[in-house]
Formats: sequence, structure tokens, C-alpha cells
Amino acid sequence: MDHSQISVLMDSEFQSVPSGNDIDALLRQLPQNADAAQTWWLFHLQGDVLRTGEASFSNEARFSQRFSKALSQEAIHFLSAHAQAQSSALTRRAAAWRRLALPAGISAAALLFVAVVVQQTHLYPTPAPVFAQVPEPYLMAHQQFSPVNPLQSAGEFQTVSVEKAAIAQ
Amino acid sequence: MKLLFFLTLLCSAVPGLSNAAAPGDKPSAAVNELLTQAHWLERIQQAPHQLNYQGTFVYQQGLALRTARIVHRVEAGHLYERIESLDGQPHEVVRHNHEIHFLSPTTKTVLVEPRTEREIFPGVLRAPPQTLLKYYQVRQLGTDRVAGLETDVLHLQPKDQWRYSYRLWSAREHGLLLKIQTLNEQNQVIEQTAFSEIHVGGKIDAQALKSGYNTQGWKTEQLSPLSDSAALSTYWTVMANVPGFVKISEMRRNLAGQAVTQLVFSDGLATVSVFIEPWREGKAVNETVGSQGAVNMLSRRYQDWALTTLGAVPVATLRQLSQAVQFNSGKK
Repeated sequence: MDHSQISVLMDSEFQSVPSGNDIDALLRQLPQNADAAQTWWLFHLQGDVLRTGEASFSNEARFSQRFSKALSQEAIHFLSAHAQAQSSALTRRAAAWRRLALPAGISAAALLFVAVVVQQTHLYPTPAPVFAQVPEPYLMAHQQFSPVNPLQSAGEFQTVSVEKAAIAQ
Repeated sequence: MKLLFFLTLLCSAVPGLSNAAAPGDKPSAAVNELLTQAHWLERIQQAPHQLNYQGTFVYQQGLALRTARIVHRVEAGHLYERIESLDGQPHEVVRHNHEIHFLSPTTKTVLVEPRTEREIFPGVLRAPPQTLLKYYQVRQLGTDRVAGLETDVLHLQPKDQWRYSYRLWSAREHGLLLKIQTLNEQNQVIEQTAFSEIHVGGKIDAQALKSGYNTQGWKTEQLSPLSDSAALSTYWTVMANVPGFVKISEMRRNLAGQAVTQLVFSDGLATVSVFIEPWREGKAVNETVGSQGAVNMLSRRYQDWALTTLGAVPVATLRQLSQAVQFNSGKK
């Protein structure tokens, strides 16, 4: 496995590889080829540094192996050869646009979400955040005094026994 | 005479009205309006103490729907009632005045509560009209039909942010409450109870009030009332910090194997429970908020105690009431 093949694999430019079988073979080789795995890891590190200015993962010795193994277990869908040929040029141009469009789309969606939330906050009081489930025994013990809920679960007979009854003030 | 008595009560209850209706004066428009509101509430409150009725009602909270059959008789000042659940685990509630028996065929247990402050639908108004009108404004929304009867639809709008609002459907003929909805801050219905069919009036046979279960051999648990002096010896002091909410009940109970003190507060309609137990690992350290159906919950640690506050009220009300509870080490 040479470096150009790894580069093709990383950039998802599968159409430049002759067939799906070759891709399959590349993925199988990756976990078993220490040099290829190290190259895979280095390319990703370079890409991260170029994109974000910092490495997003540490130089862990077995990372590349585990990553390659996980990748090799993922289902991959291939285009037909005819479709590959037709879409090759288009895909290259589209890939460039996608690099811009994806972050832009995410930003737009985030802005829209924030706008909606801010607007709703102005219209209605913010509802209480739900962090915890109401414990059933407490709920049933409370509902004995709820005038709107006239029914009490039979379950309370199993979980509740009052030692001292109510007193009115 | 009754009008004068009512006016005096209302004027003492509602700020700004004390100068509006001096004895002998013609009631002002504001007083008239208040009397109308009080009249609505009084009719709803009195109807279960004056009428015989039997029917089926439905309770809905979120997706949960439960139905029950009720038989209710008033005779020579005594109130008899039997409620039988029609779905889920079978159980019955049999009531004679302030004594309630809970019958569970599942556990073959009769739980006897000899002195209760509970109110059961349709007798939902726990406080007199003059108290309720301090915290709620009553407005007629229109008319509607419930369970085949003509009703007036009323809106109990809270005068502050501490409670939710309610819609009440009161039978036009006699005032009996046929339907009630609780609405949250967004005006969304969060729980409701309504008669699906009802027959009002007529004679109710004593047999219809008897439980359908043969309780021979069942375990009976008698719930002893807490004496007044014992109530005063509680470890807990409650500072009144939410307008209208007063402690109506205090008890110690066993919840899921833990001894827990339950304090119950009410403004005459809404109720809030504060559960107090020793704090232990696994209990919330920081304030934790939750909700289930109409009921909100707030848990927090207070000294060496865990406080869990529940109620169909805004979370801010739970927070206030939770903070009103203070440990009084000087008492025992």
C-alpha cells in the first residue's frame, strides 16, 4: 500500500480507484501494515493541524490500528462503474463546494435554532428543565391530596403506610 | 343578612374593597362583581354537600387515562361516597364524612383514615370563596355541555405567578362541578377530570354505597391521627413565604422503606407536598428539577436532610416552599 492510495482513501475519492474490490483490499491491509497505519495516522494529524491549528488526538501507539479496524468494519456503499465515470468530474467540483457548504449549513441551522429559541423565550416563560424522574412513591403520596386527581393508584397500598395522619391548621 | 355577612367577609379578604361597601350603602360595581365570583365558587363548593349523584368520571394526565365510578349520597347532614376504579389495578374508596376506607383486593388491605382533610372531585374547593378570591379571579368564559348537562364555564385566573389557572365546568341547574382542567403558564391543559355520564338527584340505595369486596380476612391498617399537641412538637418550622399557601397536613410515612415526613400545603385549590428525609448518598446535592405529567418536582439538600417538593404548581413555587421549611433543633 503506497502513500497515494492512503491519500485517495482518506479524501474519499473512491472513484479514482479502479474497483470496489481494491478499496476493500486497502482497508483490509491497513490494520496489518504498520507503515501504512502510521502514514494513515500522520495524514490525519496533518489534516487536523491544517484545518484547526491543533491536533485533535494524541499520538497513541495503537490508535491507528483501532481506527483502521473500526473503519474496516463499517459498511461501505459503492457507486457503479458507469456512475463513477459520469460523476467523477462533478464529484471533484462538488467536493470542493461541500467543504464550504457543510460548515455554512451548520452555522445557518445553528443561527436559526438560536433565533427560534430566543423568540420563544420572549413569548413564553422558559419551562422548567427536566432533569429527574419524579419518584413514584412520592408522586402517589402527594396525589392523595390533589383535588383534581380523584383516583389513587392501588400501588400505594403496597408502598405507603401512614404512621400519623393529617392534621389541619 | 347573608349578603351582609358575605360582604363583610369579602371586604376583609380582598384589599381595596373595605371602603367600597359600608353598611347601608348600595354595593358598588366592584363589589357586585366580587359577589358574583363568590357566588360561582360557593355553588360549586356546596353542591356535593347537598346533592345525591352517581356517574362515571375520567381523569386524564398526559397520555394516561383512568376512569372510575362514583356513588354519592347526602342524608341528614351525613356524606356517603363510594368510588370504584374501572381500569388498572382494582381498588375502591369508601367514605363516610371525614373517614375514608381504601380497599385493595390486590394486597387484601383496608386502609382506614379516620380524619382526613382530603377533598375528592367534584368537591375540589378546599377553602371558602373569600379565601380563594384573594388569589384567583373568576371569569365566566361561556357555556358548554358536559355529560349531557348544561354548564357554565369559569376560568380561575391566578392573581400572581405562584399558581396555575383552572377551568371549571359548573352545572347550570345546581352548580355541581362536572369538569375541571389545570392549565400551566403556557395555557396548556396539563390534567383534567370530567364526568362522562352522571345522574343527579333521586334516591341512592344504601347497597350501592357498600363495597363490592368481601373484606373478611383482609388486613386492616388504622391510621392514627396526630394530636394537636404532637403536631406542635414537630422538628420543622415553616415560614410563610408564598401567598395563600398554608400547611394543611403533616404526617410521617414510610415511602419505599424510608421514614419520611410529609408536609402538605394548599391555597384552597392547588396542593404542594414537601417530603423530608435524612440525606444519604445518591440523593441530590444540588437543586434538581423534574416533572411528570402535571406535577413538577424540586429536590435539594438542606443541612443533613433531603427535601423533595412536589405539586401541580410552577417550579418557582416549589422552590419558595422548599426554602420555607427550616429545621428547628429546639423542638422535638
